[in-house]
Amino acid sequence: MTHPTPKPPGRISLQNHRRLNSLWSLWIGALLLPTTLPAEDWPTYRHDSRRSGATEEALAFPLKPAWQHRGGTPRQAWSGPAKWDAFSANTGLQSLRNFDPCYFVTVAGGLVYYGSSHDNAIHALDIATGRESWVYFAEAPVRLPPTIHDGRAFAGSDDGFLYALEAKEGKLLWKDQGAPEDRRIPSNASMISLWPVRTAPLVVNNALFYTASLTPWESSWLISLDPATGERRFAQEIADVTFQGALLATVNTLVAPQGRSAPLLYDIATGRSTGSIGHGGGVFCLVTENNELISGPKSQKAKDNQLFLTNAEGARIATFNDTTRAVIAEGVAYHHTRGVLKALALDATNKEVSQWNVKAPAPNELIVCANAVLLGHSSEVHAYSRKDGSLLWKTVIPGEGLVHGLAISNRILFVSDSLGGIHAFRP
Amino acid sequence: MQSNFLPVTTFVLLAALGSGKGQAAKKTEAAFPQTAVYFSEDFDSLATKPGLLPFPSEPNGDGTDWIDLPTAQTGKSLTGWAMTKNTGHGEGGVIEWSGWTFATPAAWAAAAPGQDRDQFALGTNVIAVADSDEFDDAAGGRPFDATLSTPQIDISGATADSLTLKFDSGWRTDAQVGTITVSYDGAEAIEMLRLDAEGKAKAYSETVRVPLHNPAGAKEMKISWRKVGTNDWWWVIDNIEVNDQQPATFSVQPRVAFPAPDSATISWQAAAQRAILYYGEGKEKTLKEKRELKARDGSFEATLTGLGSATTYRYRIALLEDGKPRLSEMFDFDTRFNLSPAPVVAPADLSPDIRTVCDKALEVAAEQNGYLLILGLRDGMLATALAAKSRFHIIAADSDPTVLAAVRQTLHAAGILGHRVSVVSLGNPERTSWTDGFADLILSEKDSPPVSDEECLRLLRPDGGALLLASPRNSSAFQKAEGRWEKAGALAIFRRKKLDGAKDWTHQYGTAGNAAYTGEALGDVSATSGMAVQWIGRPGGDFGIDRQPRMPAPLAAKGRLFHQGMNRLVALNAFNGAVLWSYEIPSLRRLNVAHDCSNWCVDDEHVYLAIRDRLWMLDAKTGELRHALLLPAKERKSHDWGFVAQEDDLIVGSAVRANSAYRKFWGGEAWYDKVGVAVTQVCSNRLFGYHKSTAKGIWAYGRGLILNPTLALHDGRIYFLENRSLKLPAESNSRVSDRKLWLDLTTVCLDARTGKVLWEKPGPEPVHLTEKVGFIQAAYGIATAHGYLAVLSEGTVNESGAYQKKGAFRCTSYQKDGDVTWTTESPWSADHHGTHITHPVVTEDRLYFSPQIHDLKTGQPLGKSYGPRRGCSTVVATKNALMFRILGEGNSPLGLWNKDTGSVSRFMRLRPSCWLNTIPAQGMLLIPEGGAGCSCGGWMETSIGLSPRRPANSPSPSPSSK
Repeated sequence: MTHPTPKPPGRISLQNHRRLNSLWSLWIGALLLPTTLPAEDWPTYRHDSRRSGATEEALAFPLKPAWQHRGGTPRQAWSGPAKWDAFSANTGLQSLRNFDPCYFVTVAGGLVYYGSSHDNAIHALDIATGRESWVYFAEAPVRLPPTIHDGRAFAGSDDGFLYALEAKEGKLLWKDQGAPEDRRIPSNASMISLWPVRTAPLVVNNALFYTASLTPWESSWLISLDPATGERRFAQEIADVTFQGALLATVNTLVAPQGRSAPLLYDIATGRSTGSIGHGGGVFCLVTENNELISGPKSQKAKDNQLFLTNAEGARIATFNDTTRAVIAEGVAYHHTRGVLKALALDATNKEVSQWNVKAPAPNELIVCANAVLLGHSSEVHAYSRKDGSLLWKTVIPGEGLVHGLAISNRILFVSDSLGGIHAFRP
Repeated sequence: MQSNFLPVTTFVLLAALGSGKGQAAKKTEAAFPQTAVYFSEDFDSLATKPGLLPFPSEPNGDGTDWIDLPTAQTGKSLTGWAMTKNTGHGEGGVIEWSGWTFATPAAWAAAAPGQDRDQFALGTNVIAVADSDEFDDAAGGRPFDATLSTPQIDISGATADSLTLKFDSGWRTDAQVGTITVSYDGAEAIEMLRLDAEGKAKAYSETVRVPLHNPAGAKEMKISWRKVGTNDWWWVIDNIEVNDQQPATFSVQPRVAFPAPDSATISWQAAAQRAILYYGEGKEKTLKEKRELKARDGSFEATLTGLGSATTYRYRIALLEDGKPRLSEMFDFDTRFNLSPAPVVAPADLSPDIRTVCDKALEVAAEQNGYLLILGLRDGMLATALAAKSRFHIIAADSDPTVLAAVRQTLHAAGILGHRVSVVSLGNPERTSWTDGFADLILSEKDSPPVSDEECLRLLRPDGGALLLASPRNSSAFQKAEGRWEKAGALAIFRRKKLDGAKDWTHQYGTAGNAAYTGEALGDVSATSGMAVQWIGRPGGDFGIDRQPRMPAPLAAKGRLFHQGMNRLVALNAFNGAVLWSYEIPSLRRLNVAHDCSNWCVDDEHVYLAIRDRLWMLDAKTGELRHALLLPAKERKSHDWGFVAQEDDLIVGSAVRANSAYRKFWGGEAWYDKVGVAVTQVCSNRLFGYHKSTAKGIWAYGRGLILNPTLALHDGRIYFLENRSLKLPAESNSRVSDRKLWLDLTTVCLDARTGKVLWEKPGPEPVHLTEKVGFIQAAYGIATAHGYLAVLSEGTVNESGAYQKKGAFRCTSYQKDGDVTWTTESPWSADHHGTHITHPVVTEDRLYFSPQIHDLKTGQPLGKSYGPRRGCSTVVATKNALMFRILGEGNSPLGLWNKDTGSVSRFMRLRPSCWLNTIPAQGMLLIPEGGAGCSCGGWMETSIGLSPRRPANSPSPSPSSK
């Protein structure tokens, strides 16, 4: 199993790099057929340590239901956002910490993994049948899927531990308690640690990272381990933070979302603070191929959802309005705004060039594969051609759950919904 | 379309679909009860009559399509209607908006985009427009004063007092007035409805129903809409109907409980034998389902099953009285606040022993929900049985990995692992990882818990937590522990007592006397570092209304925490945050308590909740409605229940005119913070006593206008400020803005057991206010063992009445016998963010009189002040600290101010509400979510319970809490 790491920035100028990528995307769209592309794992939340949501695999449409797995209704860590800011007459406030609305999956080695907030367990399903291959029980909700690396599955739990399991069999290899103290408190019909692990573990440069954090008035912990042995490389005690959501990385910077406060930046080698993203909060973050960061939503002051493009130092470059999800692949940005799914690239003069746009409902999730952009909606999944935006396929998901999770591996599409369902589709 | 006396067999429901801007509204049919329609007009004939649409655009206007009434009538539309520009109406202005005119919603909205005209979603095709804001956009366009009147409507077939006017309305105003008058048979017009900024500054799209009270024998009626004012903003109307659809009246307003994850029980009481409940998903156009119900002793109840999660449902009730339907307004409830645990199927092969323990455990548990701790496992059957028979979350613990693995597999296979039962490793039996005092019940599947007695006792919640053992123990731990042994069949129960120093918070400001201080010791903590998280979780930011509108405070007694949200309330286990019960109550909301009073109080047994004209006595443990107390007979049909307080066996209530309570929460004005003359006080005109034990009334008192925020009960005496000379206009509610209210005040003390006047004194008197100038920003009353403090917060004005940007709190101290002992004052530190309406705090020896500190015995300022304070939230106290928003770092979060040193400490990113949602009670800081909605920071937006922190590595404390 490989674990994609960020490409070095190489200090290619932004505009040239984008132009090259844009050209490459046209080339790949023209020459590569789905069947010629390799089968890939989806070994961590949103595919890789950049949380790119992009895979080089292709899907052969139409897809058909292969199996579905019911995991029990997710018990989310937090309730929804305030309904409005009545004083400011601001409605439609965004959730800034909706990091566990479904059972996101990871896929590697013929197994589909997820963590459950319903039964406090880490599950592995057979990729072909959806049957449970193994289950490992933690002591509190597991809110994000395991990261699979070198035969090991790493997952955090609200019980305050990071678990390292043997990926094939689910046997415990070792576990690491994030905070020095094990103190459990009641929370939403569970006993959770005062330092729950609510960040999808990250493996990059053969180092494993996770956090243990809950409230700003108790110290939080940012921890780096040897993924093979569990030996600690550093454990930074950090005040006034609330780490939650998936950790991600640029070449040399860890990005740690905080939910209702700005994502924070840390040196990947030492765990020392290097700053923060200069806006409100949110748990949607991805690092682009150019080592830039897209994150959001900004805050609840904006009248609509917004994602921000910032450089590695946290300075803002651009704003995506009325959108909650975006993917950048081969220099093309795919995002949805005001009823339209757009594919945008930059030309040689750094000017946005629309490759296409099509009418589409607003998605809860958006990923891309080699030949398609996939959108998760309420009870539906739509796939649009990356080449021209034409609708390639759509399907209805049984039940009335909202589709929040999409993943692709071995030419299979995995769909996770808000009712705890995991649905597999293949040609 | 116009029709006179046109009986129809369906009721046309006009529903706003969705809440987004610019969404079209549609008429939808719902099979509501038969009704007779006497008149209807939707102005749509203007769109269908040849030559009327597209409307002409006048050459010098803005090009907007519109039509006036004379032109419409030349097209033989709106026959008999009249539009009058009243005397003084501007002679110039923008012609298309001069008086009432007609336009399409889109054309009207296009006149000034971005000002929210497009939010009149109920208006369709053609609407009638009175837009003084647009009229004012040209010279001579002010003031606006115009009346639109219907033709004479034949109502000869209607029985007396049977008619209702229904229309769709879009209203926005700053200082303008809209009225609806009705003239019967040519007689003088009677005002039926008044819209103004005070009552309703903004209602962009709503269906308005006005009872017309048509007199017996009336043959004809004419209805008129008049709008008066200058510039900001408008009144638009559409879809007018006069019918005999009388509104349903409830003796007990509807409430919704959630008995299971997919079900809701709707209950109400009414003087009817039959009813029909219509319901459906909020996103649907129509209410597709209906349920026919029969009353049982005047009560109706329907349990709806198969409901979706996180879904808003709407419902409407038709009461059938003498074959005549009376239809309620549209209500809703939201299943995202259904926090019921998933049901568990009871194992069929339970052993008698397990069955006995299970039954006994649930019998002795202090609550019906919370956390049960099973220490020592065999096969997990006890956990399964307990989960099947209760709503508790069960923690099942053992040290043996083999046992744990087997139990987990069993419970996983049964589908109850995690969400109902957590199976966990016990860890160190001398010092487990669980926080202190969280378990409502501790028991074992083995012969006895495999942990030390000290540890068992540490984990047991105070004030009712039960440890179930085979027999009593006599270890030193139990000898030292504060609690008692009880017999439970063949088993023994150790019941833990209330924490020493822990107090209840039973009323808005802690005590019935409004001291904002109960004597809560809070473990002698005086800094935030001394507090640790005891529990965290729901309700969250989506539960409430918003942080701004000065809501009733949460309350706590006997280990229970009660909290109000957006037309809903929840009872939580104070020690672990578990939801005990909850209700969605459409009529619940009361706001601006700083100028009124709270709508509830509690004791160990009951929640006393004022809903419209009744006081609900809810069982505090289960939420069941025990009584719905009535107002005194004289006020019963015309008033609502205002004030409520309790002490010993006594309930004291008050009557305010119907619809006096503030309910508006939208927009900056619903912060109720504005300094100056617009301040109104809600006043009661009758005070009365009830016995709790018998639910019988015992006395009533009424001599004038009683200022609700000044009502304070202590030790059998009820104190208040009263004005006996000011008479309210007959048609007004009990919100008083007349300056005369403050010029003839009497301070009154009654015997709360008899209602007899013990003493009364003239005053207090304002310093600056006269009949013509000045303002009182707030008034409060605080009763303690010392007597009564009457507080007026007054703005300073000069002789010409100009506000001088400053003001002061002034306090008069009365002894219990009425003698005035001292007066004192404290200048405002600001006139915004609630600083100028800060409620005082009274402790054993101090008056914390924002921002100064005074000696309670002498009233003298001590030369010290407290702060720095951000404002917004008001202030409460514990033995060692005050609590408020600390100005500065972290955007001014909640914090503690050390009474001894004056040092401050903060809970970063924890934002209180703009009034009071942080209460020191039960030995804890209880903070049910109240600050959400503020987009001014990355606030935590969670409910949280904080307990005094045990020093690191300290031995397990005795539960005596010493």
